[in-house]
Amino acid sequence: MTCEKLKDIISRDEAGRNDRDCLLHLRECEKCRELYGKLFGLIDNLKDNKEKVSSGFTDRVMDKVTELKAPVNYNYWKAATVSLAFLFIVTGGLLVIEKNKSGEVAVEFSLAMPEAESVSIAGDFNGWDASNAKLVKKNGVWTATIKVKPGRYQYAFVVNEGKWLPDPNALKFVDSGFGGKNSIIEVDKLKLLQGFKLSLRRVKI
Amino acid sequence: MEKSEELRAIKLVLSGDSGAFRLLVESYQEGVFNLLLRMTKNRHDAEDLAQEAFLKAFKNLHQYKEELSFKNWIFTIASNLCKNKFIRDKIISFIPFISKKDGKDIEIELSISNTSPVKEVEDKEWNITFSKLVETLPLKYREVFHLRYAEGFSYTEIGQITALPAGTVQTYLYRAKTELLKRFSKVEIINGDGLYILQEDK
Repeated sequence: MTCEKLKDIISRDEAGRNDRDCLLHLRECEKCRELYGKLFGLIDNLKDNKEKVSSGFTDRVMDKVTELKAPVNYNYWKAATVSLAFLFIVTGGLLVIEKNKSGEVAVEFSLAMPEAESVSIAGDFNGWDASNAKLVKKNGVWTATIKVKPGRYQYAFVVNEGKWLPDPNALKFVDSGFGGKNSIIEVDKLKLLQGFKLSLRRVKI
Repeated sequence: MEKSEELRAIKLVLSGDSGAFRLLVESYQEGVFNLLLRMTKNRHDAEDLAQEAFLKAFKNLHQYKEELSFKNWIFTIASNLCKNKFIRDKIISFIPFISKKDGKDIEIELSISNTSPVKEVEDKEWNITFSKLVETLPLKYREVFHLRYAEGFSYTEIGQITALPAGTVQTYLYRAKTELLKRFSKVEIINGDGLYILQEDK
């Protein structure tokens, strides 16, 4: 059977704090020395004896990869800068803002993505429930008007019921906490944008 | 693979050159496959999951963060996929662990693989070295044991991959080793004839 001392040695190994006492025990106890040797023989074996993938594995993966759409790294800050550049050039309104008597602001969200099958919007203003906030497609542009109270909200589009995508026309973005980005809308500040239109651009998914 | 080379490949893929993904697959396919093989104990499942892991990485490459190592990221995806599959498909079936009792062989069931018991025993893989004993460990132990000793990940990195605190990783490694020590005392590997549990003298 295993000496208790050997368990202690292994525990100390893991913590990186073995001492002279432990080493002396290994020198004196033949059984522990043998087991310790077997254990490290096994560990060396793990490093040195790896199985190979079957031939053609890489090609099979790459065949599948080429069937997929290339992932596109969207430069969000660049998008924001471009949006700002258009802001004072084009008239109209990507974000159509109308303030009603109760203080709510109607905001029109748009996403130019003709190839999408469905687009919804989820954010702080609707409890991140995309099921009741579907955008409607017209001429390849998806739009929805949502009434929100003044404030700062995070939001994102949900494309084809599964793909989360920040609004490329938003002015600010934050990490979503799930490896992606959320867009930020600041409703008070948007009052300043009333009457202006941002350029609509096609965004790849 | 050098970090700079890795980042260059990732940027190429993200700029539309899907072919650059091959470099990443070639660099990590063996490591990912061996982890999955250790976890599933089945080549077919391991390759399917490895392929699925790379495709998932490709589809989500725009979410990859440069400050993380791609190796950690792909191993995390593979580990999660495998565990999800274990839960979803309940691939917990049995292979025999042969024991000698009263001169006869008896089978002791261990949760390892879904392949045919007879085939597994005949499989030469079982007769090679003590390292196969790792596969008799519970999944959670053999995963961290493999990541630590076959791949050389730090406790912190293993914690990131397995979503365990580094302290738990350390505990699992300790338990894995003590379990292996127990098995060393009880097991004999007879070349060409499989694994045997030796009965203790009473």
